Amino acid sequence: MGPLPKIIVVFLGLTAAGLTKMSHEQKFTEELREAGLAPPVLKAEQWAQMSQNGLAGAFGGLRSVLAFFKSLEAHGYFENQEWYRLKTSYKLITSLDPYNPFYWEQGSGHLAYNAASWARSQRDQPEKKRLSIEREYLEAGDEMLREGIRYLPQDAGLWAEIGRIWSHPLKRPDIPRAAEAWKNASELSDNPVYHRNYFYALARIPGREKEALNLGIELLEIYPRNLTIPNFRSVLWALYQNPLLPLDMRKPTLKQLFGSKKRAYRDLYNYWFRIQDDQYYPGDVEADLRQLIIDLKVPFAFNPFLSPRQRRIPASWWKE
Amino acid sequence: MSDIPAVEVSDLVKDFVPSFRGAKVRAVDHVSLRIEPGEVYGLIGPNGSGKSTTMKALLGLVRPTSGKCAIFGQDSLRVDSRNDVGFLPENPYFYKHLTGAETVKFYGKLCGMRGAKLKHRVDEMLDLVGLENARNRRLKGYSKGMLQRIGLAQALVQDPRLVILDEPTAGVDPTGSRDIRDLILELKSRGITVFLCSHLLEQVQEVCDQIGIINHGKMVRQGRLQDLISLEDRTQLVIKNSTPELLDQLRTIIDVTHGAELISEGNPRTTLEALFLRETQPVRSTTRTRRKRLKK
Amino acid sequence: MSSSQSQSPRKRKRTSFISPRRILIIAQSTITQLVRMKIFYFLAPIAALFVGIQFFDAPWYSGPEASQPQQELQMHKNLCLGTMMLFSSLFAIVSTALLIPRDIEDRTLYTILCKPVPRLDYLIGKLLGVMTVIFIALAVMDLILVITLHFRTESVLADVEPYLQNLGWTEPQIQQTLDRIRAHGPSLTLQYGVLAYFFKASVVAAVALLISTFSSSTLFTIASSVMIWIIGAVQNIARQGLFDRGGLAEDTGPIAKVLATLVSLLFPDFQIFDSIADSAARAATITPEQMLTLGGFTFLYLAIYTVLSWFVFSDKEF
Repeated sequence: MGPLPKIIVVFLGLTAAGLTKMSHEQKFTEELREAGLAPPVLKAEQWAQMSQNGLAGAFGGLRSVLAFFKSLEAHGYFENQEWYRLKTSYKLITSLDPYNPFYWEQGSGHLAYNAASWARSQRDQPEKKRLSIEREYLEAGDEMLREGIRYLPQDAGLWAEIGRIWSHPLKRPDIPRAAEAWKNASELSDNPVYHRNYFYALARIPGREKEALNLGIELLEIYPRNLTIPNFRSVLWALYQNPLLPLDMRKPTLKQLFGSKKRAYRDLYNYWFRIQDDQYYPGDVEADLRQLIIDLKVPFAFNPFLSPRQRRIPASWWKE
Repeated sequence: MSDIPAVEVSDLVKDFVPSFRGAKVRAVDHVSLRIEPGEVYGLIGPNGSGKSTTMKALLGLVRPTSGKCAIFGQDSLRVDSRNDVGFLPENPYFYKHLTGAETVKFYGKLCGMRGAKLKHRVDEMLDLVGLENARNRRLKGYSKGMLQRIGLAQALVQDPRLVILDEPTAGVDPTGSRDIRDLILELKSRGITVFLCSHLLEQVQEVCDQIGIINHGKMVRQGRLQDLISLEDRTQLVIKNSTPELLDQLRTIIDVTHGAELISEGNPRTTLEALFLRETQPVRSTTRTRRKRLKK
Repeated sequence: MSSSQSQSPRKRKRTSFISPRRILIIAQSTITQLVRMKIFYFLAPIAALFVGIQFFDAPWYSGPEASQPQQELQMHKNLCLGTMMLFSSLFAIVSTALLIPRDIEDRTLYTILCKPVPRLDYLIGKLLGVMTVIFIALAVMDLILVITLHFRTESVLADVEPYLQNLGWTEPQIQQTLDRIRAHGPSLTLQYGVLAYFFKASVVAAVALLISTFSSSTLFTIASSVMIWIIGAVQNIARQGLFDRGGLAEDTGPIAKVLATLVSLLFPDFQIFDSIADSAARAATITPEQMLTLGGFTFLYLAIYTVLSWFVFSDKEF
């Protein structure tokens, strides 16, 4: 048989074998995709956005390696504050290695924190524009994390990151959004940090104080160590002061919750200033504070109603 | 003549079609030959006459366009037919990364040999071809003549009934060439059939029983060597220590004999090869000693 | 030389269609050939690279306080596995592409095929020899990876544990985090990844074998094999469009669809091997059944390309 007929027979042989194997390959690929082992199908626009490097990585079967090297490149964009390039870069990185939560977090972190802070700090721009751009970056960070959650629905960390973005006191807090994210995170993980943050967020949503209190009590039963955390104690105490609670509801005393009057004063002192920072926190603790000032004979410097906030009160005064 | 010849080529035709276009080239054109077991057959012809193609068809390296080739009755395209064949190609080239011993062992294993039998056979073959001292040297350090000898060793390793030699003495010095000639005669004495191609006509003349002359793909002459080269109407006398008177008498007798004619007279010549050997090899092992070595 | 064999009638030996022994002999010779070409010397710089990676920290690395401290282990694995994949695939292509054409050019093949060696045995033997060398090379690289990864994992654990203790995490919570880190260390899953790349390299070698049976040029064989290696990595994308809408199949014309069909039929799907290996680097759960299926596909590809190679090679003239 001459070379040309042979090539034709080989071609036909490969075609016949291909017809046999194709459906099995597809079935196995879908099985791997369902198990989260195979990357999703790239959308047409993602292909269009891919640079030569991306294509090379995709074609060469080195997607995750290329993702790593692109993340190094993206770090350079961060250092040079090239936010558009950074965003585009992370779109490619996450499409190359979508099942790696690290890149979703890193990308959203750059956008929601670094890019947003940079936007806010541009004093030569009108304030309205600064705030608008800052908001855009915050939303971009949020969107990136939600995209990551589509690929990694069981990853609590990504929800936690969304929660952090919207509950960060120095950013533009959106407490209901943060609460939703912390709730999802706490449902997926036993991490006590996630549960506490959900509790804090819930406590800060007007009208949901009772729900927050029930959650706080539950958390105390599950993780008794929560009682050692000052903010937890303070929020719980504040929730217990809610006038809408039933009168016969069993409430802990100051000493039961805080352990001592001094510790209670220390915690509520900080909590008071947090409320003054225009961050909504539940409960009215002013009366408790004033009583403690009298009981403990608090010095002038440490009286929040007379002196500015002391960032560092001497340990000798705190000592029990 | 036995029923099953060692080699039978019947009306072999082989055409080559170069690449995807170009005229067909007929390399072998209706060639037939038959070699009986134990014979030495020499196929001679100019370059490009079809010798190698005929040989390759016999070895199954090319597929005949038409006609048949058989080795001891088996179609040469069947792998089985090669159980009985040892082949030494022209300008043999083996795996350079193997040593001499490893090379012979490798081919022995391919023929199904194993264990102590194979080990013994490897030692025997290396001794036969005079490469004992170079057995552990890699072939990339071998000279052309050494490669030729290792080629012989691998061709004989499985003790084949048919040995095919393509230019066995190409590139070999006269001493080595003589050794190979002696070896061929030895094989013949053992009843092993030898099919050889060579340009060295004198050597072919020394060892072959049958020859075939091939030219432009056609077998132009074929038959027993003695029959083909003898000049029937001439007689040769070689006389030692003759006298002028004796020679005169012989001339007179020839003159008076009807139809007889003295064609030429003079001193017969030795061969350059014999002269070379006489001058360069003062002590040579005798054929009897070689036979003793082979018997072990 | 034996005295009696050549004169007495011999029992005719029947050569079997496939002889494992003959295949092993040719494979062994191929291994010796490749080893004596000093192919394993390449492992030295690769070993140095793996050791170097152990000490490499990405600029965004933030120590034990990172939310994903196991990320540096994943980076380590990705880089090492990527190197192993590149080396094994390229080696498979180059070594296979050299073997048969070299044997033909040197006429070594004549002397082999003039022995009772079926051509199929010769092809399988060559392929098996290449696969064995790839396996050995990957095994050595795997060993180095496991050792360096072990040390790096212990280092991360040693950093993270006291950090979490200082944060006041409970023991079960700390163990949970440490277990997540340990899962990214040396494990059976990681071995699945290495095995997946061995399978891939074997299929690549079989492809190169097929091309070398009808190509007389080593360069053409290498170039074609590399092209098939690349196209095989995206064959699944072409195939996806034939099974459902999505990917590149959206709004594509008839020519693109024909091309997609041809690619899906003619080329192997290398993405399945890459997916398993990438998942192994991520410490995802890979089941033995999935590995068995992957092995099944490997065998299928090897069978297809070997049979087609045999078809081309069986009446090739020399």
